[in-house]
Amino acid sequence: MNTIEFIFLTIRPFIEIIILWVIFYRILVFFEGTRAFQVLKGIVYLLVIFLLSQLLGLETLNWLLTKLFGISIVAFLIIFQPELRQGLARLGQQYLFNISLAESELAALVEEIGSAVYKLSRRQAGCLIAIEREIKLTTYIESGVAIDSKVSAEIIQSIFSPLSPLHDGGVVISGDRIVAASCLFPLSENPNLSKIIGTRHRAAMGVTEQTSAVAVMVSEETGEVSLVSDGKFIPVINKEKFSAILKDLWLKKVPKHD
Amino acid sequence: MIKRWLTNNLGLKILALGFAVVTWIYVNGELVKFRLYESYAPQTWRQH
Repeated sequence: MNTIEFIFLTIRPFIEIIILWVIFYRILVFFEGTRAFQVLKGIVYLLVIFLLSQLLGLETLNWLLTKLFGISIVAFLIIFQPELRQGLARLGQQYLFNISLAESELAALVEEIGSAVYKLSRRQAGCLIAIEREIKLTTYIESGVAIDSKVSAEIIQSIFSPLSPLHDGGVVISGDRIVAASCLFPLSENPNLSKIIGTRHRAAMGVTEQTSAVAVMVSEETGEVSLVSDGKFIPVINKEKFSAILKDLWLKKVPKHD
Repeated sequence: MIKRWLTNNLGLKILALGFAVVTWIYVNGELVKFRLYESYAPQTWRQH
């Protein structure tokens, strides 16, 4: 055995464990905060019992669990169907065919959205905008009213004016176009959410959990402006901060915020 | 930077590392058992 072979054999377990660590960590992060995380916990408990039964030679338990795991593949596919679909969609569409906007175009879009959102906030008019990134929002666009207009602060304000027939539901922005209004977004099923959180907040979280979209939201009760990404609210202090964070999120960078 | 990466979501990272180590030990144990069986069991045993 030469030296290189010896070194490779020595570090091979560490390489394998690091790869497994990354895979497990990504899976846990993906499921964290969802209902599926509770199911995953149950599966882990069963696995621990299975390993213990093997170590202690408890044959009856071991036999039962082996049979249970055999049939649980189908159960796993059924239970995790939404998460698997979501995960595969993210995996398949990540960074592919992403038509990026020019820096100046993006700055102008963010300015228009920011201007509209802060005017709506002052009037305490509720607002929900989903900005499409890699994953297409076609399903939600179809549930709303097609618009296809350039992004402008005035149009966004008109849509969310309380007397407008389109003010219920959310607006979808794709690239530099407002594609649809009055769209129905999925509600977040996060079990840790407080009961007092309203439907608009849940919809903002839901659409960002199930797709890669970023949501911009104005609370009707407080007039507070929020940005939502990956099902998490990002606090926004003022319009400058809003523009900076939204720009980062749009470009898929991790925003630096206080 | 490394400190910030390590302390962010530390609980999940430790849990994932635990899973990775247990999985590696279990799978390698099974592989060793299989290889021992392959090298020592005579052909006639395997047919049964």
